[in-house]
Parts: sequence; C-alpha cells; structure tokens
Amino acid sequence: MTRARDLMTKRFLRISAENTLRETLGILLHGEQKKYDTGAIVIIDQEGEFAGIATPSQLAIGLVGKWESNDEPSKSAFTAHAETNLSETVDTILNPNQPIASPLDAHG
Amino acid sequence: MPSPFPNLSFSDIGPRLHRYRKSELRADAVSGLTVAVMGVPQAMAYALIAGLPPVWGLYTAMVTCVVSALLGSSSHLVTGPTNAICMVILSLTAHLPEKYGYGLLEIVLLLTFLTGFIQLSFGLLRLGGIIRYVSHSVVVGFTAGAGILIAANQIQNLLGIQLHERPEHFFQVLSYTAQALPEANYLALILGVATALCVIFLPLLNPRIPGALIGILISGSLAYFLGWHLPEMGAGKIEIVKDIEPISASLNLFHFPQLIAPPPFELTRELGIGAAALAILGLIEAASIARAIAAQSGQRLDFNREFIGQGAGNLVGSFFSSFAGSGSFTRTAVCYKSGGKTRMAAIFSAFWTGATILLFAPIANYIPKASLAGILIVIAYTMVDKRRLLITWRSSKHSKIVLFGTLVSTLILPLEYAVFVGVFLSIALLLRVTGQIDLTQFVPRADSGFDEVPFNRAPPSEVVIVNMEGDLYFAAAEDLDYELLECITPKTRVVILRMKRLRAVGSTAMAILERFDEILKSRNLQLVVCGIEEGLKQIMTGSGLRRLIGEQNLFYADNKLFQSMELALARAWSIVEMERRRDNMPSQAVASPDSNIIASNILSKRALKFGNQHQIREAVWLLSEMLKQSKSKASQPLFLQNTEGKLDSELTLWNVLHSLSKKIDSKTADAMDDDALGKAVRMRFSEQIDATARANLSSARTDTSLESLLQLSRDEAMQTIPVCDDEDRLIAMISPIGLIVGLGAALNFNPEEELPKA
Repeated sequence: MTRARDLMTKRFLRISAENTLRETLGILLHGEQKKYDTGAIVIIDQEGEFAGIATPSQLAIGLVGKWESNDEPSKSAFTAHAETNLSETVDTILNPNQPIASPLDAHG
Repeated sequence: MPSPFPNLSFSDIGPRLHRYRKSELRADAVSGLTVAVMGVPQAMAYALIAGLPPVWGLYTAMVTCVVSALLGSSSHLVTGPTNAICMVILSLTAHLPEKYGYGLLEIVLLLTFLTGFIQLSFGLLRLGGIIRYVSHSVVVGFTAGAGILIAANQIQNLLGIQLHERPEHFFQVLSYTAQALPEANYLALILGVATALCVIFLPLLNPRIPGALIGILISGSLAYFLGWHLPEMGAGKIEIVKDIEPISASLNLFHFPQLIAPPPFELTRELGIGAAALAILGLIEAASIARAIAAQSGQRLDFNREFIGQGAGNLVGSFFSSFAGSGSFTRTAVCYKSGGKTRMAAIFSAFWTGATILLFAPIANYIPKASLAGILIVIAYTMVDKRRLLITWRSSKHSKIVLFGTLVSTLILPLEYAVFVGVFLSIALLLRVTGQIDLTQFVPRADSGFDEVPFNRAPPSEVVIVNMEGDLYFAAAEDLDYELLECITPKTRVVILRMKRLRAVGSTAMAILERFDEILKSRNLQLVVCGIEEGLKQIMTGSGLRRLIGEQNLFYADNKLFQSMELALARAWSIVEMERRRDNMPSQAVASPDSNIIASNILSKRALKFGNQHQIREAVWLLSEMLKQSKSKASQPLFLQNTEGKLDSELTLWNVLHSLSKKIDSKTADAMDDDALGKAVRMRFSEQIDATARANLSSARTDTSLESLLQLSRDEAMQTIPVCDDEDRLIAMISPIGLIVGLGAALNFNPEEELPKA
C-alpha cells in the first residue's frame, strides 16, 4: 500500500514565518532567474514547526491586498500600495486551513 | 471410396440425382437444345479457326462440355470450343506438322492433353485464388486482339481464296490476303455475306431466332441446289465441310493420342509454353464467364473446382478427338437465359450436339466454308468490346496499359506470349499500385478538428502531422523516408506520423522508419507516432522500434477517431515548449521599468488547449505527462475549449483528483490496497471532463494591466490566468510566477539585494 512517505520529497525551500514579503519576493524572483523550482516555499515558525506554505499566487494576492480602483489604475498608486505590503511578514499570507499529512498516512 | 477431388464427393451424386426434379429436367433439356442449335455452327466454325476439321469442334462441344460440367462448379458454364483458344491453337500448331513430321491432329491432341494436365494441377493445388489478381482488362484486350486476328484470318475463307504461303503473323495475313484478292471467288463471298446478314439481322426480329443456323441452312441449300459445290464449277467451286473432312453419322470419338506415350521431348518442350498459355487463358476465360453469370444467378463458385473441371474436360477430351476448350460466353449466356437450372443443361447441349451429328451429318457436310467464315467474322466483330475499350481509354492509366498492351501484343507477338504479357502487365501494375503509400497531412483547426490537406501543402508549423495510408511492405517502403522528409520546413520541430490506415507492414518498413527516426534526430527533430494498431505494435516491439522512439512518443489507436492523434499533438507541443524553455526563447518582451506592465509582457504561450469532450482518462494522461516533463512540481492547469474553439473551462490536477476520489470515502480508502484503489479510481475514467472542470472563467487580453491581472487573481481565486483573443480563443496564459515577475518589474525589484540575510 502506498503511503505518504513513498510520495513525499525532502528537498524543499523553507523560510521563517518572520521573513517579510519583500524577502519572499526576492527568493521567488531569484529562484525564477536561476530556474529553480519555486512552486512553493515552506514556512517554519519560531519553534521550528510547520506554519504553512507560501506560493507565488498567495504572495501576489498578499501584495495586492485590498487594493481597488474605480478608474483605470495608475502605476504609481498601485506600486505605492504594493510597496507598503512588502514589509508585512510572510505568515500574513498563509492559508490557515492548510491540511497536513504524516509519512505513514495511506492514500485515504 | 474417397474422392480424389476436393469439394466433390462421389457419394453425393446419387442423392443429387434423386433430388433432380422433373421440372428441372424439362428446363435443362430445352435449354440444352437452344444452346446446341446455336452452338453447332459455332463449334464447326471455331474448329475452322484452329485449322481443324469442323467435326472436331462438335466433338469438343460434346466431350469437354460433359466432363467439365460434371466436375466443375458453375451450374450454367458451357465449355467447348472458343474463338480465342482456337486462335492460340492455330498460332501454336500450324507450323509444327512441317517441322516435326507429325500429323496436325495428333499434335493438337498432345497440346490438349498438356493443357488439361496443367489446368488440373492448378485445381488440385488449389490455385484458384490467383484468378482474382488477373485484371479483366487482360481478357478484354486479348479477346479484342483475337477478334481482329480471327477476322483477318477468315477473310481468305470468306473470299474463297487459297493463300500461296502460310502467314506467320498478323501483318503477313493481311499482306498475303491482299495479294491473293484477284483470285476471289464471288460465289463464296455471296454465301458468306448472306450468312453474316442472317446472323446479324434475324435475331433483331426475335432474339430466339438462331440466325447462324438459318444462315448456314440457307447458304448450304443455295450451294447444294445450285451445284456450286461441284468440281464442275472449276475455279468458282465453293469449298464445303466435306472437302475439309467429311462428317460421318457416327460417334466414333475415341482416339488414343499417339504422341502422349511417350511424348516426343522436343515437340513437348515446344508445346509446353503454349500449353501453359492455353491453360491460363482457358482458366481466365472460364472463371470470368462463370463469375459473370454467377453474379446474376447468385451462385457461389469454387474456382479450384472450376479449374479441376476445365482441366479434366481437356484431359479426357484429348482421348476423344477434342481440342482444348474453355467456357463460351455466348453459349453460357444462352444456357442461363433460356432457363437452364443445373449443369445438366450443358450436358443436354452435348447430347443434342451428338444427335445433330447422328441425324444431320449428311446435311452438315454441305455447309459452305464461306458461310462459316461469315459467322466467324460477325463473331469476331462482337469480340471487340468497343464500350469497354472506350471506358478503359478514358479511365486510369493502369487499366489502359494492361488492356491496350495485351491487345497490341496479340497482333505483334505469338498469341501464347500475348497471354503472358497481359498477365505480367496485370500483376506488375497491381504491385505498382499497392507499392505506393498515400501521404497526406493533417492541420489542426481552431475548433479542435483537423483538416486533411495534400502532402507537403500544409502551412509551416513546429508540429507536422503526416497521415500514411496503404500497404507498407517492401515495395512501398523504399524511399519512404526521403519522401517523408519533404514535409519538413525550417520551422519544424516535431513530426507526427499517423499509422492507423497502414496495412501489411513488414520488416523493411521498420528499417525505413528507424532510418527516418535517425535522420530526424540528426537534425534535432523529434518523431512521434500515433494510430498504432495492435498488429503494428507487435511488429514495432519485435523490431525494437518501440524502444528506439520511446514509449512517451507512441500513441495507440482507439475506437474514437483522431483520439491518439490529439494526444500525440499535445505531446508534440509539450516537446516544442520544452525546447523553447531550454533555448531560453523569450515568449514576451520585457517591459522597461518606466512602462506599465501588461499581460503581453508576462504571458507564456505554453498554455495547453484540450477539447472539452474528452474523458478524465485522457486528461489524467496529459497532466501526468506534463508533470513528468516539467521541472517544477507545480501542476499547470488544462484550459478546455468547446467545439467552436473558444475557451470553456479550466481543469486542474485537483479537479481531477477530486473527481476520481469522489465516491471513495476515507474509511473505505484506508482499507484498500493499491490495486483496489486503482480499480475504484479507474471506474471514474470514462467520465467527461467538462463535468469536473471549472466553468465561467474570466480571462485577460494581451493588453490587460498588471493591476487588473492581480485583481482578477485575487477576486476570482485564479492561480493561472488565461489570455484570450477577441474571439475568446485561448492564446496564452499567465502563471503565478509570471505575476510575480510582473510585480518585480513594476516595483523595480532587484532580487539579489532582497534575499534574506543569513
């Protein structure tokens, strides 16, 4: 019977939950330039426990935040808004309901 | 006693006779009489073609007819003397008495024996099936040529001329006849023309009127009562049958051929090829005629048995003063149309012919030779199937070559060689036709269908699809690899070969495909093969071609049309995209920091389109292939398009997994092993993907701003954003990392400076 340990990988990128969105953005863009696999970054809390997974989608949504515009948006207004969000920590964009498996979990 | 002949059991004959009804007996007897009335003058005339006594034609119409009818397959085929066969006999034997010192009749009997032996062997070796490989054009061409020869040879008899030299070929016949024209006997001409007019016009009044019989009766009566046959007429004397060889009112048929025990070696060797030609011609004629009548009567024929019947007829006939015969179309057609029910009709015709000899021999002796010539010239005219010649002239080049090649051969070559020329042309052209593969190309349409275009006419594309149709055996496979290369353009990256319509694939074809694969690899191109049927799969496995091309590039045929080709196309485009990434081919321009970032700056054209009519099984395969080829573990969605080619929905790996596991609850799943889980999952494979995909998708245009793209991603919860043209057809996509790249560019972000400090 196949279990999670047969499918899992131990090679993944991890950063602290206290790292900022700026640093996370830097990692993703750096990885993209170097053709690394930057599909997801594992976030670890201060105790070293798993806190969540940050994906490029989540980062992009996190940076755009609640920004809206009624008219055609201007670059400067948007970038100012995004830059404000860059200093937020990465744990602000994590999915609070992230499901977790253990190595011995079966396909159920 | 076991029967020596297949399909014929002697123990059947009794029950068959018992089942033979009185009504059938009456019908067959009347039909046989009708055939005999028409056939007697014909048989005598055909013997004349062969340079033989007319009575031998009658013997042939009896003995060969009975034996062939008893042992053959057709219920209506009437075997006996035929014009074309008699022409070949003349061609083969006319010069032999002088050369070898034997009598003409004995030589002809030896020839008949050999012909029968060859035909019987064909039948016993069950070679009946080879008839289907001889084109009907051979028969038409040969018969037309023979008709011309018969007419040319009978002019001398019609004019009552004696040629001073024996002509060797057609042009000599015409030349010598022309030279002897001053010696023409006008009385003979009158009789011959009168007979010919009776043959032509009397049946027009009523098809049942035996024009030939009435013609010879009138002309014979004229000659007899006017004394034109008497020696006293001098140069004006009409030659009659009695002058050739008198017919006695007896059936003294049996005559053991002196030359068969033992046969003289040189003579037999010389006759051997001719006998083979006669055998083949006779079999082709008999089979064609039997088939033509069977098509109307609905009878199913056994050609092997027919061969046996023809062979036995000739073999036995050679012991009863008969020369080689075959199926007669005229007499067979009369037999069928006059109501003949069984093969007893042919046997009855032999009986009535025998009765004619016994009762009317004294009268038959006075039939003028010119009358018989008149009949033959009319028959010769009908042998040239003008309608068929015209149709063939307007049809394919191949039929033209076979028919006219055979016809010309009869006029310029010895007749026996003309048969072989015709058969050779027929088979050679058949091989030529089957030795060509039809190549076309498929061009994908926007609505997920395909257009089929002539080979090498498709617009240049990175992916070329070639459809191959026909027999891929050694003759067709030669040069195929170079021919296939003609479809490759500088833009080509992948060649897809569709092999669903290929037949007879042999080892030579595998070698050619292997060479083609090598040539493509040497040019950094990739080969993908689709439409592979089970038989071809086994051949490819055995030859190692499957391993060489790679399982990921092979797609097996399925019941659904073009299914494997669509999957092959998806595979081909994934290869193209991988190459683009490998070659760092930018798919969009990088915007300068001062400009607004729009979709066209960050989109990727490696969006995979898939029809929304597919099943989950196909989507699972495609997604797994994409993951195998992708460096990233992140799965890219499939964008589904409807039959109009417009964006319809999105299918992600999670949609698929959710659908596959829908009916499996976690408790049940925990108890399943992998096989059980696999079976449970496979039960969902046939579901349509449009039921699982996410519909009502929003999409972007190439000029959509980054800000709007991000809003779309947030508000619609879309990780990957499809980019469409004005007609809502998918042209590209923006991946999550693409959005990040756009953001980085908008923020003038230098990632090297922003990495976390250690």
